[in-house]
Amino acid sequence: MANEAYHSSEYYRQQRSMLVNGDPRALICFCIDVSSSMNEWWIEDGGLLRTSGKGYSDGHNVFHFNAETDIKPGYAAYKKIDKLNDALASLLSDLKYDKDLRDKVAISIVVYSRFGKVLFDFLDCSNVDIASCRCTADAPETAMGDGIRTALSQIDEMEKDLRYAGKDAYTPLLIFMTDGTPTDDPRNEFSLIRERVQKGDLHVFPLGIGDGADMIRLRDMFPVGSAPDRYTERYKMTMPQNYTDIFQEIKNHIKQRQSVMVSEGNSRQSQPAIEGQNITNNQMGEAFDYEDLLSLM
Amino acid sequence: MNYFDKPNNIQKDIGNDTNTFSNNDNNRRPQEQRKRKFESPKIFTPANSFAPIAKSERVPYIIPCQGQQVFSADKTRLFTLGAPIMSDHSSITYSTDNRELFAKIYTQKALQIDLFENKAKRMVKENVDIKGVCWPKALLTNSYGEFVGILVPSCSGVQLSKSVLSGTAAIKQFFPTWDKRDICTVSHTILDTICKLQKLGIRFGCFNPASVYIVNPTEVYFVDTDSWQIEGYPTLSRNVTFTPPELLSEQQKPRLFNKDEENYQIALLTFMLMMPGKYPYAKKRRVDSYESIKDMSFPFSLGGEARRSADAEKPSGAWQIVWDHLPFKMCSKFYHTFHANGDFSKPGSRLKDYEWAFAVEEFGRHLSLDENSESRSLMPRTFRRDDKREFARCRICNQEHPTFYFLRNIKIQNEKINIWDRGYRVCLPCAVDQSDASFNCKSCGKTFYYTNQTKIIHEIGRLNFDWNGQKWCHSCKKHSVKCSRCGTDVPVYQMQEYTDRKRNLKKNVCKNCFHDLINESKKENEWRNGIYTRGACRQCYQWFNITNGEAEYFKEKGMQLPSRCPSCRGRR
Ligand SMILES: [Zn+2]
Ligand SMILES: [Zn+2]
Ligand SMILES: [Zn+2]
Repeated sequence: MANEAYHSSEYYRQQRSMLVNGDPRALICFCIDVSSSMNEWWIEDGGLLRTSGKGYSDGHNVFHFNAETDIKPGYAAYKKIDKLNDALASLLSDLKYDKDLRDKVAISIVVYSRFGKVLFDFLDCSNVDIASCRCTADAPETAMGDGIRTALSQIDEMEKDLRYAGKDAYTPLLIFMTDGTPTDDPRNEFSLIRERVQKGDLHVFPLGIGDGADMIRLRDMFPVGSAPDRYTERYKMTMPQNYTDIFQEIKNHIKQRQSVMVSEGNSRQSQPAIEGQNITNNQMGEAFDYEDLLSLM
Repeated sequence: MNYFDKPNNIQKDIGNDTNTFSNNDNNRRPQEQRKRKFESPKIFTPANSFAPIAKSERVPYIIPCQGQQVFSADKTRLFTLGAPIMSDHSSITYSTDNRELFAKIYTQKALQIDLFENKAKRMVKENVDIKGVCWPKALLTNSYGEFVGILVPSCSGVQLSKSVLSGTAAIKQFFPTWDKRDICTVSHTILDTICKLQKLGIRFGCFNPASVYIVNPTEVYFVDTDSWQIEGYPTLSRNVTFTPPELLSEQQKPRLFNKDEENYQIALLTFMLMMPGKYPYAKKRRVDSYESIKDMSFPFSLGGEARRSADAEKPSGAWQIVWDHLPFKMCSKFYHTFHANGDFSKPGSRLKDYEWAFAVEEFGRHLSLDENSESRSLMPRTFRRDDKREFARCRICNQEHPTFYFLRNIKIQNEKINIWDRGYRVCLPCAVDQSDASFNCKSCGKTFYYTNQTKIIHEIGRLNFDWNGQKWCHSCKKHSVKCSRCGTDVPVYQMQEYTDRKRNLKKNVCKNCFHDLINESKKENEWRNGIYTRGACRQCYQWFNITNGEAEYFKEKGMQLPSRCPSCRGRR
């Protein structure tokens, strides 16, 4: 059928918002593993009293137990998907109620299990209905490659729309989360991400959820030598506090990027001599090295 | 608030210009006169070569910080440093026990070269008294008499980079009552100050919008003046935004900027003030951003021959409308400055600073005369009204737009149908907006809404179309995965889940494999139900059948074939 044009309701809201708000946008795409293993529990070591059997699912062994009675009191325990939704909701509400960011940051959520699919099209944070951004665990498969492809094309589409509308855009941010190993072969997609990160077309936060996450593989999203310090420990979310910490780090990253004018692109920004809540940073751009100045002589 | 000493000659000469448009009767001077006004003698002589820079002979061991004391260089005054207010790469600016003064203290690292001290000495020699310019008033030393910083007038306000140059949302956040007139006023305040500075021979080198603070449209502060280019002392910072395209490169060395390069930066600043926060160059896809800027790809047009750059997308919606509300003369100046083919785009040919100040002032005056004008809005909802434009009302949003902003034709099976003549009045944004017609994707379950344009196509061409034919969304349609059996790429929506009951396995396969698997299992079932052997029951002597399936089962279990019929077996 020719001429068929249809979109999700978020898409329309975003287009309307772009019509009245000409400001630059920062795109953040969440790419979230919703394989059935996300429904599993994480229990602090030694916190499980007894099990009632075991089985095999989503590529690994699982224990069965009764969450009400089989977990020792005082031990941290949660369902991975619940913790993820909580962390996501708190980040989204942080952004939604942040005066500086709410109209500039547009978020999209892509989920993947058997296939990658768009749960939520890009929408300015100020318009996001946080309650509708909950993920639910799906099939016992982890199609990482397909998830990444879907997320990247989602980013590409929105960047195109922004370009059409003559809007400036910050480098998009991909927040990738998984709790296991892929059931498809995502090597090509990983190299696509690496290329973009290398060129400065993308920022990526590859996060591992729980003990089973393959951090070595995830680190492959960074070009050689550019993974953050202590990547495999810091970007693995196991204890409840890890979620809070890493989402705080993401929020700081977003805030920091937004504090620079969009026209500065990815150019280097030098750090002020002192930072603090009530101290404004008068530096935009880079300062010359004192050696550079001496070399003028 | 007046933070400055007594007015001097400079003040008399240039300092009394009005910044507002309210009492502007005597501002209608001919441009020639205006030009002459900005060509009076300089107190700084822009240099072509660097002033000597060397390692400091003595680097202070103690850098005063909050709570500690600093002294004016002549030892006549003493200040206690309060809380840090601002900072940059090489300094921290503290409040002091004198509310009208801040102390800017350099880092120990910065003080290893003598540039800061020499430049500061040169600057305090002159008393530059321009409203809002936080010119250094004295050198500061630590208790050992070593140079550590400068005394500057205090300031307040919001950074230009965080407010007007960040876009309309930021303007609304910090200055909720502002409209375009206020933008013109604040722009004129800024540009007028810049003209005065230029006239004195002071250059930014690289304009830094993070060091300009806005209190209100007529009260603006320029801080970190010691970072500017003063005679042979270069500017200390650089940014991509205000670097002229011909100078952009990864490895930019410190340099002394000439007047023309300075004029480019003033033009750019004016553009980003008039189109709040918009950068003039269109970013091209997956191209190094420096390349996009060097190519000077400008997305706005003037009409006639002056078209937007071929490789720049046409800005739709908001920016197109904001651009339309700027006066033609100003647009023309922008176009010819930022478009690669423009008359003033080549280095050396750029418009002078006062031309921009004048253009902005004129626009502000025009806006204050033209009451109930849509042009006063920061983000006008529709185009400027003029005598030549006919307006119509959109039947969907109920907003009036010029007739060129309406959907005229639609295409149905290669046939162009003029819907405007059929009485449809749908503006372009509404044409691509959400209609009430929707469907649910059978693969991902999401609800999708047709655009109003699509709905009209359906309304007009009803007979040719199946309204309910839509089963899958774009993304599910173009989305392919590998069939787990034959390995070919198949659209997601064509994948089928096959359950192998015998092995208790589920797999996703393509249509063909699904049929094959069904057929295989049918055949297998047929074979299983086929008769393996017949026998007479040991108990009831009735004949009974043993199927292939049963035979296989017993063999697998390592058992003998049964000798009794199923009903006798059941009775036991
Ligand atoms: Zn309309
Ligand atoms: Zn779908
Ligand atoms: Zn197949």
